[in-house]
Amino acid sequence: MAGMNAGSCDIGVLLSAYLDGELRAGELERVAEHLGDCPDCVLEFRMLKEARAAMRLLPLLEAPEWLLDEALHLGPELSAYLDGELMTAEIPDVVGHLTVCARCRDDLLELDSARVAIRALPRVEPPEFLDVARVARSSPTRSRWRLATAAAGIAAAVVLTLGVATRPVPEQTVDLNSFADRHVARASVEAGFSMLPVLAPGPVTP
Amino acid sequence: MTRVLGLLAKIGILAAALLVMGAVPALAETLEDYLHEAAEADYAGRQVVVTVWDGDSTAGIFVIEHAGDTLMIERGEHEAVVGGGKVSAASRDDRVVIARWTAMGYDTRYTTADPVEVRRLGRSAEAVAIFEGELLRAGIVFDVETGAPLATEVFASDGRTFRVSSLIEFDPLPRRLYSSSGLDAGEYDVMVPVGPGDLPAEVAGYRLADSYTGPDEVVHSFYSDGLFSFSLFEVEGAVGDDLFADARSMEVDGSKYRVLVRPAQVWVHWSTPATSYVLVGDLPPDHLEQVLAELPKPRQRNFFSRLWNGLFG
Repeated sequence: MAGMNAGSCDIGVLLSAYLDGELRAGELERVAEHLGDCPDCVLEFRMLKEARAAMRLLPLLEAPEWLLDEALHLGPELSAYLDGELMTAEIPDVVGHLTVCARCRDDLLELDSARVAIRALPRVEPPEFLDVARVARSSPTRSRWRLATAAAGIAAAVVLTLGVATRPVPEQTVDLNSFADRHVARASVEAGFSMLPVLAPGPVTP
Repeated sequence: MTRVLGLLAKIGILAAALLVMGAVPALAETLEDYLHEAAEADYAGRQVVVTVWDGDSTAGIFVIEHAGDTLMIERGEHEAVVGGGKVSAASRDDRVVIARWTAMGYDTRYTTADPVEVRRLGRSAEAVAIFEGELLRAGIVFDVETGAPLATEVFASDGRTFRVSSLIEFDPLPRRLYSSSGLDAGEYDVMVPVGPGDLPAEVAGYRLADSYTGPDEVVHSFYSDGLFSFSLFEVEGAVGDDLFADARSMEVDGSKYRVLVRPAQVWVHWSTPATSYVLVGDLPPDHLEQVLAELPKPRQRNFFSRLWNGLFG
């Protein structure tokens, strides 16, 4: 086989699949063995690899707005995406669109900011003086009762305040392994990632 | 431990070789080119990682395969596939993907010396020293044929070794990754980009690249200087103390932090009345101190903050 032109080797067609990790076990051994024996295929393999590496380094181009038809923008799918209501199969399409469409990215950030803001609003109960029926019931003959009620109210407020202030902060269940995954997912697209030896795939916590 | 010390001694020889090279500033692209080549390299092997912190060392041995931009890591019964913004930890059935990211460049504080030809694992290699000003910050030995990083060493500001990683077996064919392993198949949790919030855009030379949130609404902010990086996680309320049960204490500017040292990264935990912070990264100890000094400081909850949080969350 040595010295044959890569085009004439029946292995040539498998080289691309080899790089893409699409070979079955038997084919993998065949390609690996052949590469050790055929300089032409090794050359073609290296060229394929370099071409693939060069493709990865190409800058991602944004599609101009006028090319994107209104119907192609994500609209309601963005909300479903944020709410985790998309089918798994739909997610790559949405993420793919987000990488080329600045408008949908902005819409996504706006939607998310609105969600966060709404969640942050305090829950407000109506004050007691708005209870019209109760105000109408009050009369001078009930002043002693009112005093006792007010004293009881103040005492309850003090107890409530102390109770709330001394209540322990609710603890969130945090999975450090999930944090590790997120850190490495983001770090993996940094060139300096090759400096990072590895992140332990085992449990972070002892 | 003897083996770890032996490894450190061998790596010390590398450090000495790097030191005698001297700090001859080179074009920043040189390091960038090396790292890009390493990021695309195909190789497999067994890697030892040792981190030294306050005189104590912690080590791990990993089986790794790297092909294109994908890295497969195996340690005991745990396996993970990492690359292109995705992590699939098959043994824990955890899968995470980030929706998008900002491309980052190198901080100009790093310069490189001219590479020196060396032999490692019986292969031709080049040792590259990376300087931060006058300080030798790191050294990397790259395999000439594949571009793979055969060894890395990171130094603290006092010149002591902080972290060493070294391939102790090497194979230029990542066989499992080239076959269909199926390790990365399954549903992924998508991390959605969010606005930067109140965190500073730059911390001790590390720039804020992106912030994300996931299904648990924890906000994740990623900082990098192109060489080292860290993530800061902001959790509303408290996190369980048991997570950092065996953590050591660290003091920066009079503030106390809990620190967990693992072979490949350092974890730091602290709290303010409303928020708990968890930092994870590969940054050296002096960088970590500078970073912590510029991030929100730990604070105890006083009566009024307890009342406010109790009433309004």
